[in-house]
Amino acid sequence: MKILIVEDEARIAQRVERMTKDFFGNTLESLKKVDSLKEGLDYISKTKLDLVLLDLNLNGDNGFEVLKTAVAEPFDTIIVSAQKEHALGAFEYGVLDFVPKPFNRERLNQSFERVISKEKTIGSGVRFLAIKKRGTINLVKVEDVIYIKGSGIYTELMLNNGESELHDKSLEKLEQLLPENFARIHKSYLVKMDEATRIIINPGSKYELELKNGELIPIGRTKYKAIKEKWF
Amino acid sequence: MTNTAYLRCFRLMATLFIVSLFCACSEGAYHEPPLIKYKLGDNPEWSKVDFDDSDWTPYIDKSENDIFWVRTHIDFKEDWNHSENLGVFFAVFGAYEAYWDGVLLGANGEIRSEENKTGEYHRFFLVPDSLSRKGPHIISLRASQKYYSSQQTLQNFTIYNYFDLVRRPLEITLYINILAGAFLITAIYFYILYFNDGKSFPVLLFSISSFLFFLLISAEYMKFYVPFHYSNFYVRLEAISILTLLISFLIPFYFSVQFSLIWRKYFVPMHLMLLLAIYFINHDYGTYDEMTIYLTMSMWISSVLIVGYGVVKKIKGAVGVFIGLLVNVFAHYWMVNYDYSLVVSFIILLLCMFYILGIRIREQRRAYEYSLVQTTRLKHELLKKKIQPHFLMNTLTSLIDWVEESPKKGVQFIEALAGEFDLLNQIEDKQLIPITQEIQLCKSHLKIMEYRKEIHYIWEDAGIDENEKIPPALIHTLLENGITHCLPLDDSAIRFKLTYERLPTTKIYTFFTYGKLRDPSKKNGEGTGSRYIKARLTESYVSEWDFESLAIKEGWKNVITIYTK
Repeated sequence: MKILIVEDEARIAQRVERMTKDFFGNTLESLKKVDSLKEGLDYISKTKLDLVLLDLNLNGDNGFEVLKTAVAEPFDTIIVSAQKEHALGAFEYGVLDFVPKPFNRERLNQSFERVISKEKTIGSGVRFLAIKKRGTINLVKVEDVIYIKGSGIYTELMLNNGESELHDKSLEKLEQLLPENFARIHKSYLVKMDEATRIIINPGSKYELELKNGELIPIGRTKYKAIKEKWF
Repeated sequence: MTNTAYLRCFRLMATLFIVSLFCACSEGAYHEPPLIKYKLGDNPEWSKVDFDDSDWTPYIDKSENDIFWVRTHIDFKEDWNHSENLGVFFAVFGAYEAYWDGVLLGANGEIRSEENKTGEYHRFFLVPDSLSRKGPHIISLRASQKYYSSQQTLQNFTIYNYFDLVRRPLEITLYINILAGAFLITAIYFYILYFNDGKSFPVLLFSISSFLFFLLISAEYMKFYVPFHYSNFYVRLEAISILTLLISFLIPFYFSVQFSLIWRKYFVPMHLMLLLAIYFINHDYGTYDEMTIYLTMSMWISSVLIVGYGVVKKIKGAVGVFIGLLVNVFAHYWMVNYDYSLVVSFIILLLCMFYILGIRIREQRRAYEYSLVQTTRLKHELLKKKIQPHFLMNTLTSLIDWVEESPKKGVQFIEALAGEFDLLNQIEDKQLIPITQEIQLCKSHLKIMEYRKEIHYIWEDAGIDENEKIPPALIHTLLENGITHCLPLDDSAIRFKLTYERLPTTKIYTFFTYGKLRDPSKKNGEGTGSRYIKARLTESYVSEWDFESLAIKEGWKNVITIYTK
């Protein structure tokens, strides 16, 4: 686990650090603490990370700017902030969890569990997916996404306007963040089930899902039964 | 107000007014320009129609004890309509007996013994029907002129329907008095408003102007119903002149205040000097008509200049007033009757002043309401410092950590927190607090932040006058900014220093943060902190303050200057 803590309150940063170390123990490969946005962004751009713990108000700067950058990255983001009113907004951008201050060990551990277990984010309220494109961050509305195709460590978002965008998060991470109506129908496909019309069974137990736009997406052999039960 | 309108209104003779009425409404009445002739001496024959007065002169040198006669010839083109009674109206400087074709009509006083001042300047007489036939008639006065004996004796006379002669001026007076009453009530209302509502100078000026209008109209028309002796003629004229002078000064002055004329300091005294010069020169020559012309002309031109300035500067209401001033000119030219045009001009002028006053009062009301909201908002903001989630939750998180790690320190932390809350409680609804309390607040805040940030903060102050007061949480806000935007220096400490300087006209607080700026490229813009500081300074010192905030080599410097005059 490679973890970054962005927190401007020394005492709180120490507390988060201590608890993180206690939780991850030996699995922790690196842990870095920074106390400003600038340092945080620098570090994110230079280092491969698994998890960022981020405060939203840093020395008077608005952490939402960092948040947009962070959620476009492959790692998970957990917000540790005093500003509960920003929790909903943060979830809309696709953070894994929002830990309100003041927090205790149990609450922080609960978040860490979510990182490990890949269980779905509470609320499942992500509304935007942040895309890095030529150095700027663009936000794609989740409602515009028809399905997502995994391609290695990246994913490809297929949009209802026929275009596609590359995203840095893995299919597993996105599955964790996206709402319930996105179903993993294949190891390489995550589909918004509102777009599905029917299942086509081909000879040789090959299953395909037909979408409203006529596209056919393969359904994994092992997934077929569960998909049929839940959605048809 | 136009010069000519004013000129006409201040005509010395009440009769002119009546003559002008007749010009407008009567046909067949006698109004050839009469030739008035004089002769010293006393002879009953001089009242007769057929007496030869060809050697009489239009002017004579008479002394205060002389008796003399006045004669004038008139010619009726046709018989006077006997359903109406013929009357004659005289405006005369002197005590006299009046004759019509040798028949005594009446007298206004006792000739030669004028000490009692019984004779009225204005007098109406009924003419016998038998003497109002077609053909030549003679009006003659046997008179003495103890006062102002160099003045023309028979100043004016009018021959018309007797009852109309008497009634018309009273009818006019009726309407004029209604207007005068309106001016008086306006004056009283705004005078009370001035005393009860913030002592606004323009309100007082408006009230005074209304009152002067009331006096001027009253003085002008009083002649119709208050009998006065000709020796008092100039008293009234003098009063009217002074009132005109004051009004001519006050109206442009009022506009210069309302339109914030930048050259007011020079303009107003110059205008006043001009008016005084006009007043005294004409006063010496006794040219009251000209005085009125020039006074009102300079008033109008000054007003147009000032309001024109307002129009150029796009000051609210200037265009409306400017149009009002122009309407004044046209109103004058379109009005047949001069005295009505005077009154209409006054009303337009007063409405212009009232209009601009209304606009200003509304603006002030809004500003006042805004300041109320602002004060509430500031109180609110101060309160928020205590319960703002960022401060409170971060503090509580640190506190939990201290309690878990070192309960003893945790307790000290809680005590420091209680100290700051207690201080904030004491100052929250104050507009100004002692500087010592402010410093205490800063120190207690630093204690809390030390627990949170684990940075060593050092407080210093110098030259503080313990009796001084400042708006609450000013320095506290600067301190918070310093903590937020600065990193400790090499000795792992951030130092804060507050200094106070008292100069003859200023009080200067300088607050330094000695530390390393986190982001030197960051401009000190309009953050919530500096907005709070500026709003607080405005609340207490209006515009008599300055706030400067800048990066220096050693960190950050803030200067609050308060001007004391």
